[in-house]
Amino acid sequence: MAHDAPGDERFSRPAEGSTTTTDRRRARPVHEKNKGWYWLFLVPFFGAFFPWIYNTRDPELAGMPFFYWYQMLWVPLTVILTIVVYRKTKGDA
Amino acid sequence: MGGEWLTLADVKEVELAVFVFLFGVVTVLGFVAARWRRAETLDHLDEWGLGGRNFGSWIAWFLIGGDLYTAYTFVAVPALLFGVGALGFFAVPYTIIIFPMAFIVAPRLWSVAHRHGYVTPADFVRGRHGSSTLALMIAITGIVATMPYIALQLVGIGAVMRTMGVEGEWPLIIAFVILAAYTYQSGLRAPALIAFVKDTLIYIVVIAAVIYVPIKLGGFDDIFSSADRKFTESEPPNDGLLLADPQILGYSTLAFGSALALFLYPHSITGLLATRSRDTIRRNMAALPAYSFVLGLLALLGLMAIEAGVEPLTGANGQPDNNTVVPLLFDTMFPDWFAGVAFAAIGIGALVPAAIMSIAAANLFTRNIYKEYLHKDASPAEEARVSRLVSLIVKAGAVVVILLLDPQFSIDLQLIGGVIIVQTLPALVIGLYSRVLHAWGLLAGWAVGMVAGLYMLYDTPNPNTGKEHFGGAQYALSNFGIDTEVTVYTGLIAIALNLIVAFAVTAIVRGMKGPELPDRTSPDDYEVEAGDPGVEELPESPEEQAVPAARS
Repeated sequence: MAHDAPGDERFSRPAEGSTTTTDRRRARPVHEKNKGWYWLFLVPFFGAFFPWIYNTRDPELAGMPFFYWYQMLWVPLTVILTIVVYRKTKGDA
Repeated sequence: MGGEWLTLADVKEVELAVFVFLFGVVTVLGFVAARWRRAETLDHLDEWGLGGRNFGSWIAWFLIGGDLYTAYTFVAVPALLFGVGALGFFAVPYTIIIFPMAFIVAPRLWSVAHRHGYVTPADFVRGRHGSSTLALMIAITGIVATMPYIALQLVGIGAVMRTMGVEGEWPLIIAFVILAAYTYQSGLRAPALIAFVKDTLIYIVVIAAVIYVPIKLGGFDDIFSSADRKFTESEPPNDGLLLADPQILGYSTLAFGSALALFLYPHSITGLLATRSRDTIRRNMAALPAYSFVLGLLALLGLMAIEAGVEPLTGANGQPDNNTVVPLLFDTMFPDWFAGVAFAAIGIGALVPAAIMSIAAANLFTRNIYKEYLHKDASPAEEARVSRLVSLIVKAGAVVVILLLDPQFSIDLQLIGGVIIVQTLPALVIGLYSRVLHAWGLLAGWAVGMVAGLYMLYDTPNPNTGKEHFGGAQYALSNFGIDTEVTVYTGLIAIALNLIVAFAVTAIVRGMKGPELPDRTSPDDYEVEAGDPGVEELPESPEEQAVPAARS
């Protein structure tokens, strides 16, 4: 019984002083939708985890071997993909 | 040189002065943090141990970033590139895939933890799988994996100190005593506030370094050619500007296995659970890769150090210590005052994760050992009190380990830490989605994964250093009788065995009609967002109202 805190110990503090949650800025919580978009994350996985495709020196970029700049490039690309997935899966308020 | 308590012969005064000044600033911040976003009381683990569970996007970004990208990372990754070249760059693909994975999985943990008041990963395992033994094993695994990680933060500070000419052990002790004091006082709020300073300094230093150093060295062409020359001329065959063919599988499995491990560490989970909402986590997973980019740039500094002709300082064991390479590069390239800023960035960078790790380890002890086995009806106030005390013990332990034992021991332990923390994946991550695995199966899988992982690490020599055991986390497939030079990340082999055993034993238990253990969670617990019943939103804090993104 130790780990499930009884109701009054849980972290569900009804905000003291304030009236009800309906006053709040985000009155209704938003839930995710269209979770199929998560599959888009396979793209950076295949892009970054197969060194066979990028373990080469050429083409160099400003003196930097392909191996290094190609992997660095996946960081901003993954950010863009994450933002797309975030937008597409964000539910309506 | 080493062994003496204090040698101040050729101390670099300007660097040290800047360092001490910035260190002083964060010390003040650490104590002030107790009053920041003040709670009515710190006598509750949600407050002391999770900062009120109320951090919004900005604070969470600094906190989680400051938590995951430790001083040791910032020193060791470039040191690896300096030493062996391409292999050290695994940190980049590793950090590319972490955030998408956490984007999908972490919100589920957030929701169930808020509904049920879980503070630690083992709390969740206890509630979900109904086995306190399994929860205990998860807690112990977490504590054992975290302890050497804390000790390694001291290695980061030590490398900086030696570069500034400060020898001896007293600076480490002072730094950790101060850290222990304000962590005790302020809990998770201290590293959260200090993380702002740490990360700002890190970004300034790294951006300055990757612009300024290549210009001074004559461009990336020269940097990569001289690195290539060094690796070609050197003896060991496992270094190079590109991966050798047998290394490729090892590289990708290491990156992937490390990515699996990162968010299983208790301190990562502490950072996640301290956020205000699922949305905060999801949003952060798009913003946190900024740190990955910085880490990639920083890694390249290891190659720049080759062109700059940096010779690593000799460590306590008489071997060259590559961890001093980046501090030395800053020292030779930058004006004194800016080198001081850079050193402060690394030094303060050690404090943030060390504080969070000690809080996470203390929470595991309190919730899953003390409360579960020693004092079943501990009140929330008592839990907070025990956790605060244990956080002191944890840090004292880390200092003792570093001072009394060879630092190599901590590095070995940390290697082990990565392999064993992955063994908690089935109970945690699969548990977040289903109860397809029975607690007994999970327990058996965990045990097999641990034993196999430890054995394989023990069985791995390192020909470069002449070590016979614990020579690295790459296991040669030739050990399985395959005629090849290919190696695979040890943690990934161990987790594969873990999963096979977990499914097999589950099938046996269910086949023999073994008892189903209770599950305290319900399917919608994993989807609830702040504001839903049972997860009421907390009062707005004034600092966060300026964040525009929260309005939609």
